[in-house]
Amino acid sequence: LQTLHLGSCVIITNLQKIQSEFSEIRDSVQANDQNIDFRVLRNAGSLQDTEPSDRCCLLRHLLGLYLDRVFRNYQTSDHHTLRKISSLANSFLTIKKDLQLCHTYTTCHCGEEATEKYRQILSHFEQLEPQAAAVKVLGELDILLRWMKETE
Amino acid sequence: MKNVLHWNPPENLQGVEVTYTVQYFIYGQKRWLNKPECKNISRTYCDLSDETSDYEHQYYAKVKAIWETNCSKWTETGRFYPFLETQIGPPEIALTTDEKSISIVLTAPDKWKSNPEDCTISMRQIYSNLKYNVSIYNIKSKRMWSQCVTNHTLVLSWLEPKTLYCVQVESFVPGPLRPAQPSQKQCISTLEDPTSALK
Repeated sequence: LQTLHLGSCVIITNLQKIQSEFSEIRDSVQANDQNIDFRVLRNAGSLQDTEPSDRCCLLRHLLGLYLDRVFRNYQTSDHHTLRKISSLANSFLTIKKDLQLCHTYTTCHCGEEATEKYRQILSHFEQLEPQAAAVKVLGELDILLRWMKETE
Repeated sequence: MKNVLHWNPPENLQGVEVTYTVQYFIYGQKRWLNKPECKNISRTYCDLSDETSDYEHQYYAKVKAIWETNCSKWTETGRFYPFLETQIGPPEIALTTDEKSISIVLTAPDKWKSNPEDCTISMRQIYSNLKYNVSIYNIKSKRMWSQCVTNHTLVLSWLEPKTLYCVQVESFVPGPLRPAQPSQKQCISTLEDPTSALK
């Protein structure tokens, strides 16, 4: 288990399990990404380079993006991939619930930095057609996990 | 993080002089980049370590074959993420002993560097959760056991005096499986128990 320090919001999650599950579908998902000259999760928007007090809010938005517009929109007939995506979604939902608790206890403040960084990520995301964007951002899950790991 | 691209020669061109050209791509950037040292080469590998040294980025590479007046299509790799995929070398091992214990001191491997003048970066700095899998062999009893350790020292106690033990260590990072590279076996004998000499 890993402890993520997101300002005053501290959550415990199993990043290794998530990383291992994603590794099983990573190559096939990334192979479907036809836009390799375009990246949605860019270093400039990274979680670890965000003020600690804004990290919880940024991560909450990113998890919401994955839950609402990536896992839901990713289309495949491969059952193994579907099962893995479902498991990833459940893990993200658990983390999001923990962040929601922080939000309830006002330790998940949305400052200007988090808002602006998420706005940029969203604008990159929306430059692509929904299905292509879902493929790309799912393929970038190891970048998001790396960001999360850096807050350990 | 020594990253070398390898490929197999085309099957149907035995006996024909074939050369190869390699290009690489940084995910999210705009164009394929040349590697001058890997243009029109006859060997079937190309060292892209310098080009892929920023382990935060993700990369692609591709190669094509050229023979007579022909050239093949490009063959492209999948997305390569050095941070996740690099193989981590074994640590350095220092052993000291007394009658019934062996102290093991481990030093994390260094990041590979093409230029010896470059500053040395320990893999511990890159992977804060670097761990070691220590295997211990009692040569006399032929018994073997393993221990997973996080910090760089380990003391094996309650050993048999005057017995040869060998130690082999692998570095690993929890997460997706990576090919492991065990260290050389290092052996040391525990000292004779002075009290046993008096009996």
